[in-house]
Amino acid sequence: MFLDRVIVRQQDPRQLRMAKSAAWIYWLGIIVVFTGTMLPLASEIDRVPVLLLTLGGLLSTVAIILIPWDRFSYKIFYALSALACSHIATLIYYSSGVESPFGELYFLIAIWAAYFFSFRGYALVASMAIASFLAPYFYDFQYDVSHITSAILHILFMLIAGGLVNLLVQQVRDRNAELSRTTKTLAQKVREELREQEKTAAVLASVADGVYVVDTSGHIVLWNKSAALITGFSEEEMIGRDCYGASGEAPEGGGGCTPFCGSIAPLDADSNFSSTGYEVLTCRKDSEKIWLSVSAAPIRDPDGSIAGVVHVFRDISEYKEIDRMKSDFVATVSHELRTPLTSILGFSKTLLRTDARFSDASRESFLLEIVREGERLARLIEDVLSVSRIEAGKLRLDLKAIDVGPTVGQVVKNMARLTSIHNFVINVADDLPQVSADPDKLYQVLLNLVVNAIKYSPDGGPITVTAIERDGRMRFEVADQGVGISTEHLPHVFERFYRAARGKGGVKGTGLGLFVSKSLVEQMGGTIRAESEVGQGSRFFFDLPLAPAEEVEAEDKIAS
Amino acid sequence: MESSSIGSKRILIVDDEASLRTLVRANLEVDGLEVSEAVDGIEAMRMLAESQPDLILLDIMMPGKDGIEVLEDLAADEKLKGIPVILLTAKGEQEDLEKGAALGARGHITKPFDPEQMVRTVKAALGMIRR
Repeated sequence: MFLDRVIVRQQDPRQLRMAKSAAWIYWLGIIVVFTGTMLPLASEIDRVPVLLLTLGGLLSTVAIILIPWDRFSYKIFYALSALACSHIATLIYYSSGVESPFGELYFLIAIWAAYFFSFRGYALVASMAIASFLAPYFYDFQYDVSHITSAILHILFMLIAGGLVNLLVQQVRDRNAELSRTTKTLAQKVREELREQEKTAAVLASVADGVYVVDTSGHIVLWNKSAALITGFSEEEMIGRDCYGASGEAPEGGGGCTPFCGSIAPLDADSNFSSTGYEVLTCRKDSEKIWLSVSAAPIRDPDGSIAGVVHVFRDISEYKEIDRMKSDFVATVSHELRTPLTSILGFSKTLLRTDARFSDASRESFLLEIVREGERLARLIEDVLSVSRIEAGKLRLDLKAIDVGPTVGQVVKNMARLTSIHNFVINVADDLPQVSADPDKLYQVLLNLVVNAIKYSPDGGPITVTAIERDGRMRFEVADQGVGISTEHLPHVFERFYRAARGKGGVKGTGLGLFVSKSLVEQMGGTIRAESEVGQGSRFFFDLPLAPAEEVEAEDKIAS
Repeated sequence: MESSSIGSKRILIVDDEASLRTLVRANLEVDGLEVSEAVDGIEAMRMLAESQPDLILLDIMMPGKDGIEVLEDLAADEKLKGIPVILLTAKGEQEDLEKGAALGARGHITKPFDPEQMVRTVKAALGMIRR
């Protein structure tokens, strides 16, 4: 612990190398000393301890050189260094102190210590030198006084020179330490900054929303992965593009629709613009139109001026489409509700007219109209309710074993009243097994299919309703010879709100019937499909499981 | 009320809903008017080319050719221009109504309507009674 404060820590590999080279110098000195002690000297020297000490010094020096210091505590190095110093001091003591021929050797050690040790460490080495040089004087050695004075001055100059070197080295070292601390802090900051940037980049790359940044000159400086995915324009294409430029350097969208970038309002750098959100109809690279919901916010410099605008956008085409279908649906449903209501109210009020008299036949036909339109209204309401139940997952089924014939017959009987230009063909054998179904729901499905067959064959013609047993299931089929469904529309006919021909020019309807039918059939454990050819007519068919055998037997017993 | 002595007036009802046509026909016929029916704009134009009625009751929302398109065709045809047209509309079709008025429609009846009221509107338009 003391050594910690005495010796400057050497952690730089370059300085470690220098320490080792100093140790080499010391070792060479030892060899010189060893050789010297073997030579005949002016004064008497006790050669045995000198020899032992020389050997000890040799070993410690070898240790200094060979030990891989970077893997061990520096304390060992310091201890060995101190040992070497005290060894030299002892050597000098035994070779008659001030008069020792090895005085110059200690100068090397002093400089070395001055370089590597702190000032206190150096002071320790210097005191040890003074003690070792002077100690023999207090014992038996005989000195020439003038010679001693010059020797002591010589030693003092030597030690003061070492002290100055030490001070100089300390200063440089302090400066270096400070420099390296600053460098380290800087490097740390740079690393943190880079990490932060990587994090931001990773976040930008993985958000599902498209993100892009436009600088004040209107050039795109950032374009993330999702932006590329949504618009079809890659980062390479978009970075550096002039978004607002009058030159119209917008990416080539083609197809006559506004290319993506150009449809976003340019930035007025002086405005008090904080942030804004809007929806925009624009184009993908492949010219497909997309609706984007965009929010834009300014990026401000530390001084508050706008440096650019960050835009975040997402593709809302799907929501827009559902939105459109929903408002379409509301419009059609209200129309579809109003039409039968108009007839019901109209015929009722006609019957109540006081200023006109109608024949009994007319009155009866009016009543029939009221019934017919009332049923239509009920059917529509049933469909709308079914949809809300299906959507809420609250559709309840009451599965029973039922006979197919009467259900089909009832549907056809009710529907035949609606039309005079269609003729119905019922294709149901008498000995069909019972099916497991909810009677009301089966009726609703068949009714929807037959109503569609009537609606979509405006020129009349046969409508065939078939039920046959096939592969252990009951297969129902409703076929017409009407307008048919194009291959473009066919895959979508069972989708909610979907109508093959929309708005004007098409057949009226809510777009609910087939969606409800499909849901009902699936709930009852069946599947529904459609086949069609434009101009030839359509065929809708679905199958339902047969009723379990024992139930049939049970009913047979009751019947017999 | 029945004042037509010079042969009965002829009304053309254009609507895609069969029951509504029947409703209009029954109420107008009982008042001695002659009624012919067209299921959509296309059939209406075909019938108008053959003979011209004294008044047209025209539904706006129809498949094929809608009421507004029929009005446009009528306005463009010298022979048909003068025939008064009463539009049959539903509530909330204000925009169509304005378009229709601009194209020369005489008036409109909003569904659901009172048959008696409807007969009065038609007769007024024909100048058979005062409004």
